[in-house]
Amino acid sequence: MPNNLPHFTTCASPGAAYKYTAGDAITTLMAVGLVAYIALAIVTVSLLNLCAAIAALCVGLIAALDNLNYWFYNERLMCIRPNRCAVGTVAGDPFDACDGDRKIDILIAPFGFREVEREMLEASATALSAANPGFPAPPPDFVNSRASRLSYVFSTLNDAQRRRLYLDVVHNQMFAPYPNRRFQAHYYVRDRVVMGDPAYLNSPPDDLASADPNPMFRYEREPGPPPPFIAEVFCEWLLGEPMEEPHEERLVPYMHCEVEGNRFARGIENLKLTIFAFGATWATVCYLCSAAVGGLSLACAAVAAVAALFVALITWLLSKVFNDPNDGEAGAISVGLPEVPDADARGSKDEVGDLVCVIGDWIMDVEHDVYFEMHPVKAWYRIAKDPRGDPRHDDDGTGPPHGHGHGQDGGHGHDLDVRDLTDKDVSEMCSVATSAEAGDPEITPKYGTTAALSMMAGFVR
Amino acid sequence: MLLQLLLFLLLLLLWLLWTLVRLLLGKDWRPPKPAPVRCPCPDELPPHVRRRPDPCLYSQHYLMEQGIPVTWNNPDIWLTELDGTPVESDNLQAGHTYVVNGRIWDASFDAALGVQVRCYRRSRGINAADFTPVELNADGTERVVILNIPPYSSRTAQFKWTTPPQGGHICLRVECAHPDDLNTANNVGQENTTVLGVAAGERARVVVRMFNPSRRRAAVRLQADIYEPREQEWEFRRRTQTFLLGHGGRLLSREEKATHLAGLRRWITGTAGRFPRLQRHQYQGRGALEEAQRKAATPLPPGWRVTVDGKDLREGLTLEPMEERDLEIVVAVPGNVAPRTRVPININATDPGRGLLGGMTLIISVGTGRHAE
Repeated sequence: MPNNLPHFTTCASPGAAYKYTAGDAITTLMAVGLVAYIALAIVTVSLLNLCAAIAALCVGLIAALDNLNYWFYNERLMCIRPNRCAVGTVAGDPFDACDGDRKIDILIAPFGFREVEREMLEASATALSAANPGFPAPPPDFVNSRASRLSYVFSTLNDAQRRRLYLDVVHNQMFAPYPNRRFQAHYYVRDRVVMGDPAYLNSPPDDLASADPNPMFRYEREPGPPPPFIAEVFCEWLLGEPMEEPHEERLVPYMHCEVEGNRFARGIENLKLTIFAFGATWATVCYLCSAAVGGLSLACAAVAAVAALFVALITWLLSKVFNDPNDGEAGAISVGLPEVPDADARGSKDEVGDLVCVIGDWIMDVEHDVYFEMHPVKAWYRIAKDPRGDPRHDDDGTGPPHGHGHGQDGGHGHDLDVRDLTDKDVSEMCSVATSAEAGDPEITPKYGTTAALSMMAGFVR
Repeated sequence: MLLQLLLFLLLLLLWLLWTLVRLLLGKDWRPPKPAPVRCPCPDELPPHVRRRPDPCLYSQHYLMEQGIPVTWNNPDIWLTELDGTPVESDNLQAGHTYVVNGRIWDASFDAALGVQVRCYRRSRGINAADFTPVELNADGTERVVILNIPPYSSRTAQFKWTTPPQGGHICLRVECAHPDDLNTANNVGQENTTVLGVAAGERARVVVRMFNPSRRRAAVRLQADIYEPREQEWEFRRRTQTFLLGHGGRLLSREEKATHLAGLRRWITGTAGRFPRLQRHQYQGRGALEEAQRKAATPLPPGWRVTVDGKDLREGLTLEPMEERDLEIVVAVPGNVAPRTRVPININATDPGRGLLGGMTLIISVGTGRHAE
């Protein structure tokens, strides 16, 4: 299925993407508000004018919100390469964020979920503690007990040690010893050739030799400082969604992927409309009342405020009915029509351990901690299920016992073990998937009788 | 004082209005309080990014379910020598290594990545009980070939197979599997062909094995026809439906939009669902193909007769639960058949309660004189 449909976000070229600050919003508010105030003061031939001041403030607020919205969808993500393909294992439970995006993380192939969170993590922890007495050594049952691994990583280590541990896992355990397993390394470690000079030069250094390496992959960090109050108010009150995202203790380093929604844009639109309704009503009633009584009085201001609040409230309620922000949640999209004829309705769920192929725009998120991600995900192909089930439950009695043999770590059995995937395998998968996404299907294809009979389920009457 | 009173009255009025509106909307009067932590999403990925293939091959069971006649001379399963020279699956040397080719198609607009293909051999017969992988890995496990197939295209899985030392006819079965398969009913195909040379006016005999895998008695119906797919080109026409995002996250077709309330909302506000979120395609034109195949399924020509264990084929037979039985099938060829005539006779076994059990194609080659046993 081609993905030539438009998307909500557009990434900015390297150097143009930037991190938004409260200062940007205040500058826009002040600049636009001031211009609006001067214009209104000139029109009304009155320099000190409360009617104009409140209306100008509303104009400034609308401009600031518009500016924020534009940045969020057009200048927040730095382009690296469009329509890239990555193959990997789902590394954590997907969830919907406040902005409407569905977030899913993958551990890139050909690394198995179990080998990374067990042997590689242990090897790095052992090496780091041997080199540095201040670095805690892993417990003896590290490989066999997930509870022990979680306790070590999330309780024993502090955030700086955890960052050091994951940098070591990626650089010294996953890539350095295995030259033939590096074919997707650029999704975790900056690669000048693959990224191109502009993106490379506009991203922070991530090599171990640098003074303060910034990992371009993601790992589970300590929860950061609480979000700004205004963001919390916007999410929880205006959009009705919790700002706080679920915290899952993941042990593997991963690449972040987002299927985009537009709940944020819808919320901003509703807010702009509400402020506009308030400002317009305020200005109209304020000026009319002032003209009627021969000057602005407190009574006029009160009447204007009541009218403006009333209209704003009605507008807000109506805007939520006609432009429900929840309709912009990517994960909630469903087709309310019958499926493809003859389709097997048993479709399986997305689960941790699934081997998948993701096609999307490869970008760098300049917000948060600055990392690579796929955003937006344009196509999601499931390649194989883990025959042993969710690898997080191997040790807790709900999954099969741990084994080191072939097909027991990568999790795809003898049929398709992620650890067996080669550069050629992944290139072929990506080539086939990318071609399928590249354009519209033929309008009038022709097939011979036996070919058509073989594919009979793919045709309708 | 007056101003304070006004402000108080204003706040009271707003609160009353808010309560009234919420009550009218059937909601609690208090503002909604979000859950402290968002639940993980257990559902599938949204349909505009989820890709689902339909790996398949010429599947006798699927086609029979659709009411389409079948041949057991499977066009998607064939044998070659190791150097690629084609070989008739009925005429194999004992203890010789061949390549079994299984062609797998993807009948979907989405690519099929990581399709797992397996190949088994079975004893000659109709639904014989044994399944043996034709090729094993070095560690003794069954070999599985992984294919990546573009939409509405095919790729071929190859298995090396060394025929049993005692020789004899076999049935080959190719299966494909994918975790996101749109249709799992068309994943198995069988190659089960026997060539019988016979002179006009004589009888050709073959012994086949039949198995009833169920725990109840099977009243087997046997039917014979001389259907053979005739190659010609079929044209299909693409139909595309565009979906826009509607209220509640539902994707609405353009037609549905015109009548749906969400469409009305979008039309009024011009905000929601500005652009299409999903396009779904279909290829139309299956009806003509089906019709032509049904017309081609002609019964045995006059004078030809097939018997099973001495009884007319149409009388059928009964198999006890789990019973496996050898059957003698005899084809009586009329005396007036011209030499070099080749007649493919498909024998299909069905159980009224379970559908198709299996079948085989006997290719009667008149005039060559080679009798199979």
